[in-house]
Amino acid sequence: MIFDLLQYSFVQRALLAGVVLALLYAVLGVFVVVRKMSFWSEGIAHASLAGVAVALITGTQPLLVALVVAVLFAILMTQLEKRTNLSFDTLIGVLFTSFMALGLVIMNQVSGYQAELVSYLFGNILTISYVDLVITIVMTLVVLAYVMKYNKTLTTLSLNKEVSQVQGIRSDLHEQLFAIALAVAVVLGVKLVGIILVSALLIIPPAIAKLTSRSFYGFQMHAVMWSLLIVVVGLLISLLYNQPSGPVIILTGSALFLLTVARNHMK
Amino acid sequence: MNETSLFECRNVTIKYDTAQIVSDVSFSVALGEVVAILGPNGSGKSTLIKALLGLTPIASGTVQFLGEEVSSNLLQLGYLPQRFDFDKTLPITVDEFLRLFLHTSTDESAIDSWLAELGVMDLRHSQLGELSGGQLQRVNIARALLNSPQLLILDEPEAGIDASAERNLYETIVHLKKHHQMGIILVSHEVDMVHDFADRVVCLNKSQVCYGVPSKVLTKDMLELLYDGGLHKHQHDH
Repeated sequence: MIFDLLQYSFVQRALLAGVVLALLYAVLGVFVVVRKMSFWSEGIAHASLAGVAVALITGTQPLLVALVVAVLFAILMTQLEKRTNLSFDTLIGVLFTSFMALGLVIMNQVSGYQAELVSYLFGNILTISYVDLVITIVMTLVVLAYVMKYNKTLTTLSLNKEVSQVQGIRSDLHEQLFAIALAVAVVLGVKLVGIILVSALLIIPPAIAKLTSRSFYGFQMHAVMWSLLIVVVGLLISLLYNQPSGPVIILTGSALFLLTVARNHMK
Repeated sequence: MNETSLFECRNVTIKYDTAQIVSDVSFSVALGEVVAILGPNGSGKSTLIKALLGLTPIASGTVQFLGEEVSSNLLQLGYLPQRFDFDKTLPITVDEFLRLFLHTSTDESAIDSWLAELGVMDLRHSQLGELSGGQLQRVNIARALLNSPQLLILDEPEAGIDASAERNLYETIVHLKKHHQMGIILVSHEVDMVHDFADRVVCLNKSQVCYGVPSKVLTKDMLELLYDGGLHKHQHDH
């Protein structure tokens, strides 16, 4: 049955996009978990709705406009954090709700917007187009190239900012670049699991990997392995049982997380 | 700059907005010399260190390291912060941690040799988050020394370790000075340790109160002045 499904080009596109995003999320998710940035990724995902809304009303490519809005959100966040005495949490709370509210008001101008809204809130990777797939692969390669090149820098910065600065690391630059990379990754995943669930895909695989590894290299490798397993198995289950792909992928991850916690507890 | 000086701080003043945090501090450090910065809590010691490292802006004065700005010679500088805050649940070994700070021009054998010299070779494959306070401090000193710096800056290295480990730590500092001819800037609030182990001391309480050889300048009157008449209370607080 699985092999029958794999004959369809939309399934092939969905699987390929899923594998690419799983890899991207695992690599970034490790740093998101270490730097406690899960609320940040949640904020970017919700803020991207404003971009999707602008794209719908102007008839442009939603993924591209959402990417632009998310990158703007990331830059605005890091700059406001530097220029105000407000914490990241507070700023994210203010900004993401504002962006999301803006998105909803704009969407309300489009007739029959509810269907579009639901598809972005909960995602449907089976509807991913060739254009979306190409954008996803190209942007993923760019982000992965940055993270691979600066893996040591990002790890040092995640451990201790002050010592990193004395080490000569340009912390402001890399914090900004990482925020942009994260914004891009989150928006790319909106089609896969939706705005509401996308940050779970960033957090769950590294959370499991943290419980199954004893070195930082192991942590990164395990995160990739768990991420690929969660996305591929979740996607196949959703196809076989005709269930929505996003929630099933996240539930697959949640089940693996609970099993890992239980296994560690029984040791 | 003095010909023999490795590091020179001249008339440094630090302000936050209009408030003066540290004013008019001057001292120098030569190779093979330990200079302590002594003062009560809130005297501006850690702020001064951050300014010397270029992490906090200086309102006036100059700081030179090897005759240039500090940022031009960061590879020649090792730094141990007062608190090395990190996620203790993070799976990372001591070996992986140290490799993060190994400069491309430094041989990998530096990890082994510094861990051995600091007596923590057996911790190389341990989890960083599972180390005791004293062990973590030694691993962190090894981290600061990895690229064989000429200047080592230690901000209250005794913080978070027990009394027996503290004397041991100060003996290590003297060992580094003697055997590696490093210049060392040591921030401390331990008067006895500064008296026993430092070559010179800068007394700081917002401004520079004294500067010189500890046995000469750390008189009873000076300590009373430095600690606003409350040295015993201050030591008791710690």
